[in-house]
Amino acid sequence: MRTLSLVSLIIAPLMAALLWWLGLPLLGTALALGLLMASLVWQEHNHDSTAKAANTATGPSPCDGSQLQNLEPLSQELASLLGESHTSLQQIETTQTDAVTLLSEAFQQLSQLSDQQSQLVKQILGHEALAKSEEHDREWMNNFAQNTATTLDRFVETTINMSASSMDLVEKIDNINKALPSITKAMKDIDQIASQTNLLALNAAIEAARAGDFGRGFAVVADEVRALSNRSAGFSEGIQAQLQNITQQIVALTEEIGRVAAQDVSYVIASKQEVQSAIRMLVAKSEQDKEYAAQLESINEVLQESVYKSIRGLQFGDINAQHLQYSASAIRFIQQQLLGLSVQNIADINQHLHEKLEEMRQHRQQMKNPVSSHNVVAGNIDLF
Amino acid sequence: MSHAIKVRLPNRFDFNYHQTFSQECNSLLNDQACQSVELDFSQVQYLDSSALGMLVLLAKKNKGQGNKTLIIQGAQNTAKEILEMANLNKLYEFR
Repeated sequence: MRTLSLVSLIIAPLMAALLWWLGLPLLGTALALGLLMASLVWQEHNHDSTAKAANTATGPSPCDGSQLQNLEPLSQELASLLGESHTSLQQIETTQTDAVTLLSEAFQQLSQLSDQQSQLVKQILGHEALAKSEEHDREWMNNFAQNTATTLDRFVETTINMSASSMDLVEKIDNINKALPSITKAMKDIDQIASQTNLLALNAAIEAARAGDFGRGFAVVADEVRALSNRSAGFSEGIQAQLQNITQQIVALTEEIGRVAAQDVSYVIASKQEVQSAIRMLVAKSEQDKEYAAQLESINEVLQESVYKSIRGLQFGDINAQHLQYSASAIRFIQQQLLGLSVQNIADINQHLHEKLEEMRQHRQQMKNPVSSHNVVAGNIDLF
Repeated sequence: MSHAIKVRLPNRFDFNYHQTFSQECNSLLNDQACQSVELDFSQVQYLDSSALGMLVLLAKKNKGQGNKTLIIQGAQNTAKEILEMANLNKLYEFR
């Protein structure tokens, strides 16, 4: 009797602790209470029988069959409770294994994606030779700036040289223009000479008329001279008209050249500044891109490290599964032992219990917990 | 003997000013007593490419005759930027 109650007292907290550890506090408490009650019933029964034995002081049978019969439903009840615990443990193991498999797959995929992302980032930024390309980029930008500045300078120089040539032309045309009035003045002199000649011829004609027949020949000469003076006056007029025309055309030409030579150049300065600021922006942008790339890369490294840690952590699911299997088989064994506990009398019970205890001891020795490590840090397992 | 002559330039130094400018400068270049020509840019707010052309032409002529010191004086803001952009500091002394 004592032995059984002692066994119950030991088993009860042990089972409770095991189930608490497995995260089944209710089941643990229930089992512990069940076993405690069982032990109390046994103790009371024992007490009653000893009292009876003292009163009657008869026979070797201290226990009657009706009370012993109480033991069987109790152990049946305990066995079925243990059976339920066993089933729960198995279900926990299955669920955990499934969850671990799912998580492992997800993390493997995450790891692959993170690898791919890292590769892509490297490709986008031409990361393969970062140090080299940084130098190269800077050089390229500087060359670009230099070339643009040179092109602009050359353009400005060409424009100014063209302007200088145009201004030279304008000056030369001006000189021609300045020469024109003197020609006009010369023509006016010629005009005057012609009119004087005309007057002279007129006087000669008058004198010739006065001379009568003797002067007839002279009159013809005077007429010719007058005609010549008229013709020269006509020429002079034509030339002056031409000069007028030329003067007008020279004015038009000067204006035209002026239009070509006079270009607004302030826009060149604006565009030069624009190009410079664009280049500054490009340089700043490329430097910022590099910074972001470095940040992205370090983030990716941390991400990969986390994924690896997670995968490593998941491997302890295997250890837990083995713990669960071990506990389940222990419970199964206890259950079987309880079911085998059918007794006719106290002596039988005592013997039976000793046998069962021995069996349990042997069973424990045979079936060692396959997992020795208790925490994640202690068990350093390689990746799958 | 160092005789410097100042040429005052207008607010808008462009093509319309070319006759005045070339007259003044040509007479200065022919002046033997004149050692240096000082162009006063302090009033100039705007100048176009023809003005730059006139300045370059003046420098070219000066190289051919006289070899006087050419000075640009008191150029400000945009005018100064344009003169520098046109690399006139190679031909003129900036003051």
